[in-house]
Amino acid sequence: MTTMFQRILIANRGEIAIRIIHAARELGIETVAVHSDADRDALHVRRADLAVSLPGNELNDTYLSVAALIAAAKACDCDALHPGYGFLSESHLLAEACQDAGIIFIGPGADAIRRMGNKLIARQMALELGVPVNAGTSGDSETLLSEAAGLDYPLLVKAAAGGGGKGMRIVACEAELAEAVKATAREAAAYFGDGTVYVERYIENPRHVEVQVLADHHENYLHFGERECTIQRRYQKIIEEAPSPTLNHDQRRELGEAALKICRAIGYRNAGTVEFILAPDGRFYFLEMNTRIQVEHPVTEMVSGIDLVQWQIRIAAGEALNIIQEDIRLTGHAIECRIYAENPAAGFAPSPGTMSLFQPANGPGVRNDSGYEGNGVVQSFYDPMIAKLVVHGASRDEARRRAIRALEEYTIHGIHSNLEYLRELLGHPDFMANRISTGFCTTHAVELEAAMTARREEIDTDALLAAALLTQSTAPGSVQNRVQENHDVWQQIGGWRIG
Amino acid sequence: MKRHLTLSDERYDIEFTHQTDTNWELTRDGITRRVELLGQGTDWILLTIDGKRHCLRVTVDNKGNREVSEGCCRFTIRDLARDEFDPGSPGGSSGTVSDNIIRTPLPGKLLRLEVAPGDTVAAGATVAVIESMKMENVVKSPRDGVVQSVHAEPGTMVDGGIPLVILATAGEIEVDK
Repeated sequence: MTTMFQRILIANRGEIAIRIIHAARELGIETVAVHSDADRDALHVRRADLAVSLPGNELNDTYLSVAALIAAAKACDCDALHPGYGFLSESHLLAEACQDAGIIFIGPGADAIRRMGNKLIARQMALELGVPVNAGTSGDSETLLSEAAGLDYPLLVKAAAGGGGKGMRIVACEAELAEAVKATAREAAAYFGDGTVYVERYIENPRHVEVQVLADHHENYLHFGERECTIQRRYQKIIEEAPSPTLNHDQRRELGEAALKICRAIGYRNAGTVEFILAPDGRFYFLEMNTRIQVEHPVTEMVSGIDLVQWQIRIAAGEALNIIQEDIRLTGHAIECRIYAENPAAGFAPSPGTMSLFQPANGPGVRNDSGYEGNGVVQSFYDPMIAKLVVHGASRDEARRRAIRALEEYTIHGIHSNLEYLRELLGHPDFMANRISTGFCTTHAVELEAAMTARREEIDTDALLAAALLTQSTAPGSVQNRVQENHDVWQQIGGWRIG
Repeated sequence: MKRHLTLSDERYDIEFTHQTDTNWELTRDGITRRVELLGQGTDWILLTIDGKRHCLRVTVDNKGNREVSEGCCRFTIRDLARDEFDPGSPGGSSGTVSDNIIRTPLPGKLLRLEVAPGDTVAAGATVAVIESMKMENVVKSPRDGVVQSVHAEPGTMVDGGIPLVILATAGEIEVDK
C-alpha cells in the first residue's frame, strides 16, 4: 500500500526541472521550483505550481545550498525532493538532510551515494564481486608507486572523489608518475575536498557504454539495456545512443548482469547508471556508478517505452516495479544530441546571452527536452547545455537521418550553438559506420570544421542578403509584418463579430 | 539602390533595385539575379532567387543587425549605411541633425517612394506613402533640401519611427546614387 506524494520540491533548474514537472504532473503531484535571481524568468519557475526564490546567484547560496533547499521544501510542505542530475544529486549530505527533515529524497539511500561517490570504493567493490575492472592500484598511497610498477604504460592517475572527466591525468612513462600523482592529489584536495588518488592502465580509444538500472524498495532490480556515449568533447558527452551499436548479444547480457550484481550488493534503490569502458579488443571494464538520473536518460525511455523519471517518483513513494526483466524489450534505435550554447568556430567558447529565437524541430520520432520556449536568456552562471534533441527510428541509420532532418529544422538565433557541428558529426561516414571512439571529436576536428565551412558556402549568399534587406526594422523583435498578418487574417475569415 | 553590407565579416557592395511590388533585382560582382518575395512573417521570409525557393528565418538584434538562417546555418548581416543614421547604434553619428532624417510616422506598408537620391525636394513635398489600417498616410519633407539616401524598399512592411529618407545636410551634398 503506497501513498503518492502531494508535493515535490525540484532541487534543480533548466531542462531537467521541466522533465520532473512533466512526470509529477502526470502523476497528479504538485511541484515547487526554486530559482536564483538570474533564473527568476526561467521556464521551470512559471511551469511549477509554486516557486521559491533562493536569493543571490552564487551556486553555494542557491542550487548547492542544502539548507536553502530544505528550508524551501519545508516552507512549502513538500513531502519529497527530486535532485535531478548534477548539482546536489549525488550529495549524501542532501540525502541525509532530507531524511532528517522527514522529506523523501527521490533517489538511492545516502549510504549508496557515499560509497559509489568514491570511485576507489566502487572499484574495489566491483573487483570483489568479480565484475571486470581495469588493471590498477588499490589506492593505498604508501604502496601506490610500487603497485604501479607492475602496470603497462600509459597510465591514468585518477582522483577517488572525482568524476565527469575531472581529476585525471595521463602519464606516458614511469619518470612522470610521481609528479603526476602529486599534482592530481593536490588538485583533488582543492576541488573535491579529498586528495586520495589511484592509478589505472590507460586504455586508448575506448568506447563508453553504460547500463540503466531501476531498483525498488521490494528487492526488485531491473536493467533497461545500455547506452553508448562515445562521442564526447573534453569529457563532455555530445551524442548518446541506445542501444549500443557495438555490443553483441552476449556482451549486452554480461554488462546488464554485471550492473545488477553491483546494485544488489549495495542494496541500491531507485534509478542509477553503471558505466563501463569498452576496449578496442572488446573487453569491458567497470568505470563508475552514477547514483542519479542521467542527462541522456531519454534515449533509454524511447527504446524501452519506460518513463524513468516517473518510476523514480513511484519507487520513492514505495511502489513496486510491475515489470520483470524478461518483459523488457528494446525497440528500434534512439539518438540524443546535446545542444550547447557554444561557438564551434571559436574553439567552442561558451556563448551565453539572449536567444531571440528558440525553435526546436518536431515531427514523428522527435522529442525535445529543454528549459526554454520561444526565446529566453542563457545564463552565464550555469553549464551551456540548452536542450536535448532526441530522435527514435526503426534502425540506427533511420534515427541518424531523422536527427539530421531535425537539426536542419532547428532554429536558434541570438547566441551561437553547436547545431551545425552536430549536423556534421551525424553526417560523417565514420559516425555512420560506427567507427568511433572517445577521441572522435579530436581526431576528426579538422574534417568537421571543413564540413561546416563547406555547408555554409553552399548557402546562396544572395538569398541571405535579400532576406536581410527585405527585413525592415531597427527595433529588435519588432512587430514588423504583424500588421500585414492581421490584414490577411481578417481577409481570410471575413468580418465577424463576437456575440 | 546601392547597398553596403557585411556578412560574416566580409563586405558586400551590391545593387538592390525594386522592380514591382514583389520583385527586385540584386546585382553582386557583376551578376544580376531576380528576387521574388513570396511571403513574410515576424521571423521568417519566403523568397525565390532566379526561381529557386528559399525559406529563411530572420531576426533583428538590438544593434539592428539581421540574423538570417537557412537550415541550421546561421549568419549575421550588417547594413553599413545604418551606422550613419541610427543614433541608437554604437557607430551612430552623434552629429546627425534630426532635421535631416525623415522617419516613418507609423508602421505599415511602404506603398511608394516618391523621391530618389539626388532629387531636390521642397518643404511639404510628399516623399513617401505608407498604407496602414487600410488608409494611405503621406510622409512629407520638413524642409527644402536634396535627398541624400533612401532606406526602405517599396512594397515592404516598415516600422514606425525608422529612418526613411535622409536629406543632405544643407551645404554638404554627397549623394548615394
